[in-house]
Amino acid sequence: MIDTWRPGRKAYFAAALSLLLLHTTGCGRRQTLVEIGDRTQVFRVCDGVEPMDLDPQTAIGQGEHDIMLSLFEGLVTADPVDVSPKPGVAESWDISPDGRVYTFHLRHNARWSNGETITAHDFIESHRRMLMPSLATQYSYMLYPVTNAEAFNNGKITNFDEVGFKALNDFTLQITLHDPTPYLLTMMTHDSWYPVPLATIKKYGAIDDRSNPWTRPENFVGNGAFLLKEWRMNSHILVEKNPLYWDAASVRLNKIYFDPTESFDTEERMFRSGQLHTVLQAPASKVAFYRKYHPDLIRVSTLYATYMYKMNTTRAPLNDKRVRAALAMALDRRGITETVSRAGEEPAFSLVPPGAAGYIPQGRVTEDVEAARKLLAAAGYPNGAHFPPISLLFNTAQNHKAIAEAAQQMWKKNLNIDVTLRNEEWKVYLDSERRMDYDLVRTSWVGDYPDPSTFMELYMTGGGNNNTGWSDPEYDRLVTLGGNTNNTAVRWDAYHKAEAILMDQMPFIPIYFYTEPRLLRPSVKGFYPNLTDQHPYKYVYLDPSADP
Amino acid sequence: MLRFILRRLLEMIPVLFIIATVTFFMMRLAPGGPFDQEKQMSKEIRARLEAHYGLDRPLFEQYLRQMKHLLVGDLGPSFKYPSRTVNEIIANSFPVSLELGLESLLVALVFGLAAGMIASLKQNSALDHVPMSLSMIGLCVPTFVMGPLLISAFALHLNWFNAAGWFFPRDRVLPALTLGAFYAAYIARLTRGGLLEILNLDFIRTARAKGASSSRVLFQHALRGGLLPVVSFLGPAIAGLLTGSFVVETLFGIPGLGRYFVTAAFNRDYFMVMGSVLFYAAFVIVMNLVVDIIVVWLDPKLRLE
Amino acid sequence: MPDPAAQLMIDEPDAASAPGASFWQDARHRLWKNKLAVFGLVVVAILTALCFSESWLCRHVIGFTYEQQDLALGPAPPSHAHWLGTDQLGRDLLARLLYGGRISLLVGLCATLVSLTIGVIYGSISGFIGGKLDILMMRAVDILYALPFAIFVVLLMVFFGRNLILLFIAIGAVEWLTMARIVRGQVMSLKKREFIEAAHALGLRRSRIIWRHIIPNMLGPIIVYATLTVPGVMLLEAFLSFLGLGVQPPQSSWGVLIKEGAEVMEEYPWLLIYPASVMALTLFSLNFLGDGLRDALDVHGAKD
Repeated sequence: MIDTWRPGRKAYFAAALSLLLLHTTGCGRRQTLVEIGDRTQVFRVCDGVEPMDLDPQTAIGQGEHDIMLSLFEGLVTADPVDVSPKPGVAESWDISPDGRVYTFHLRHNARWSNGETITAHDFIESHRRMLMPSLATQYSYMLYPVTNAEAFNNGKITNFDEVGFKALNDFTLQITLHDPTPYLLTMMTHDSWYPVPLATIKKYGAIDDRSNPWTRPENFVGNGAFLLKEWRMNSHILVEKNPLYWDAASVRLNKIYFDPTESFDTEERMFRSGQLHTVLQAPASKVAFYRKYHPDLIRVSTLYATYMYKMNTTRAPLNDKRVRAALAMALDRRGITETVSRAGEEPAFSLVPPGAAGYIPQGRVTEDVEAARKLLAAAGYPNGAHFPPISLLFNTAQNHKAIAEAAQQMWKKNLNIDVTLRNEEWKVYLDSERRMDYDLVRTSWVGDYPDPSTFMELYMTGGGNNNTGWSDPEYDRLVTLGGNTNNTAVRWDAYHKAEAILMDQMPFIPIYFYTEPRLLRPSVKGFYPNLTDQHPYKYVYLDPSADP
Repeated sequence: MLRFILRRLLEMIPVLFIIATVTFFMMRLAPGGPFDQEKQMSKEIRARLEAHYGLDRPLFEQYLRQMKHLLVGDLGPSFKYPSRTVNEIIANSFPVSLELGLESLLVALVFGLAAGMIASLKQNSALDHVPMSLSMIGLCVPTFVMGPLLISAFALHLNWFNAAGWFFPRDRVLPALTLGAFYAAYIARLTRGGLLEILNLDFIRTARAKGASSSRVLFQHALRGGLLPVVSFLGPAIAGLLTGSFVVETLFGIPGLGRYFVTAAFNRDYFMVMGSVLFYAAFVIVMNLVVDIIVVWLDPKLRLE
Repeated sequence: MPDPAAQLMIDEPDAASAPGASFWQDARHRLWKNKLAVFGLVVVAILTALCFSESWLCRHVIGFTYEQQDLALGPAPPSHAHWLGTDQLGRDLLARLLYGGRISLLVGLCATLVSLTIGVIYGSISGFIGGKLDILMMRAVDILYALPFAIFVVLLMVFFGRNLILLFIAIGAVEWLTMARIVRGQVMSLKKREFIEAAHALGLRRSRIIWRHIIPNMLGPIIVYATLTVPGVMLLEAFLSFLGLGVQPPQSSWGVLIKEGAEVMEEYPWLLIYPASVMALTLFSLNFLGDGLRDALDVHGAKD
């Protein structure tokens, strides 16, 4: 049977033979790879991009994350349904009453794919590598709640023993935080917390060398439910069930193929022709059609991500908060999501998407053209008179242009002001944004982990992605307070107040909360929609009877 | 002949050197760097990454260092795919593009030359108008439209082929047609134009008047001079075909080299850009050399200079 | 076969005015007799006229401007109100086509003309003079072929801002290369023909030989290649717009319309079909015109 996507010479033969058999037995239609996969538990996924690497500490990005989720397992994993923390390599954990000391009890049967047992020391060594200044990992800040982690990462201290990781014995790991961090367990489901096989890495080069080839299939060692078997650039990645995984008995898929097509349209066509079980994102133009004609094949779920226009608060006229508010109030967000972006997005009136950790944002932009005109008049531009020319910067991709065109018309119509559009190639755009060479700029923010703090920190003073020139000490204080207390009531109160400041000052205009219009065959089971789009493959299986 | 080839190959050295130099400084002048991304990294981490790749050194020092590496054929690591070298990426993806390129070239030559020859012999007849109109349409339908159309018809409706992928022999058919059709249209029109020019020459007219059959005239006399424009066009065109097409490789999910020419520049993957540019340059130069030799063979009055 | 040298002798009296006046008069006369060519010329002229009177047409005939949105309507198929339908933002496609035609025709014709001029002059010099100069010039072409175009465009945009002239420069910079190589090949072959050698023997100036005898003899391939360049140039413009050079939204061009139409060809086919048809019509017309020009200027055909 053809159950591999890239068969060798023998498989060609088998393929030809099976096709011949199909014809002679009267079954005229060629069997699709999806149909074959359904019967043999071979899952074909499109993760969007060719992964930059499969080293969980240096590789970043959603596509990379999706693949590494099958290859590694942290102390804590995300629940497939609601992404809440669930036991992974750690069987259980205790949290000290002050919320600063976490003690993890590791499973005794968790092993690396080379057969070695995973111990608390493996985790400490992995975290040390993650924080090594010379490796320059981008997500090292995910470990910063740990005592002295930031100092070690910045080279201020060099003795890792001073960092808050401690192995009480081979199977007990104690993590000490500098302040209570209520979302620590949630953060720990992120790749940056995965263990990496230090012995293997050392075998193929320096542990702080980004070019270390230990992630090649022939060298690879992992601890996830699946094992890396083949990796052909821009063609496919094949992972197979890992027999040494501690919970191998409950893993039902035999193989997973990850396909890096890098084109939504190509992926959608492959899905339609039965080459893929699921596609991360349907092309925007096709979402409505699937929803109308094939609702069984599409699943639109909300994501923890916000689409917005940032404003340069250091330039006139956007240095006036009344002007910023007027621009924010004069948009018709539903018009944008329903006609322009068309992937079922939720209009956004605040920074933080609702739904994570039980936080409900309170600050809201009101869409009110009359009030917007008044604000603009108060700022000295009655009916848009003498409004200086400003431009909206965006990168030329996806729907950004159409959304910008729609916003431009809304501002013209509602406020009688002219906003010119300025599209730039991706890196030029990023450079312009970083240097704050813009008036308005399109941007989006995807939560690193499902907790509002990942959004609130965005506009803190000196935040690497703030780039608006806006800063407010009270906002900083509230966000810091909200991030460092275990008292949920105090946290949410602090965030609500911080959001109120944000809505009053308006350094950005929220447009919509992202959705993920995923294409999915009905035969795929155990693959739940969730906020951070994490689908641990150990729970996934294929049921051919569900896809007649 | 041998001396000519040797001299041209020697000329490659300064040409490649100039290309490498200009590319290096063009890349560095372009705004944005390899480490710019949607979620910007902190200044410290950016600085450390730049130090890791030597991007923190003075520009001229970097230039010298890269030239030194290029001299020994070391194209360096990729920024986008940190655990891979540019040499490795090119070595893995070029054979795919080469195969697709050769198949497309075959399609282009067979259809293009045949259509062009028939059209020129039967000028202003249906055998002229139909293929030429088709080629006109081929030119107006860019590959990014042609590809989806072919996929839609033959993969999604008739189910003869996969919609994308590069695994089975039949996966070659649609991409080769898509890519080949565009070049076939060019070749057809250039062939017809070139041949008509020659067929109208007096000595050919005389030959035809004396009763030589059309095909005999075509093959004995006209093709030689008439194919000159096609051959001149084919030099760079073949270099482009064999080093891969960004559009077709993306449309059909083909793991070829073509996509890197575009994505590497967009990613500011400095070493990858340099590697792909030099690789392509060498191809263009060699193909143009081959063209110059063929031109002389076609027109014996010319000599290799 | 008439003696080429003798023919040159006959031409010699009007040698002062570079190409003989009667030659161009004859050519014009022959062009007007060619129905297809005239048809092509008329269509191109009408299209150009329509596109450049776009603002008047939008106000008085179509009723919508190219940027006027109707989000509630969205993408609608052709109807009485919108003859060619609307795009995703509910903008009238006909208005956008006419507006886009201005930039596309301008780019298509001007950039082609620029690349034609550079390519012919460069290729002629290189092929005719030959030797070291030829080597130098052709290696320069090799270098330009290889440089990363996307980066070149980005640099142009960053250092000089965005304007139409830059668009021509960027497109011209790549499109003339193949033209130069084709011309060079033709020139090299032509200069070995008897009549050119005879002209040399007669002591004619090089510039005159090139202008009077070589260029007319390779007009066929040049015109064919030029008409082939037009669609390439129009589509290249779409790529440049993607990079930020070229048209700025909400403006449009045929290339951009086709590129965006291709993305939604299954859902809203009219968004691809009409722009592609208009472009095809233009190219067919230009092609007939090109063929007609070629026939009209064909020095061999002239002897019938």
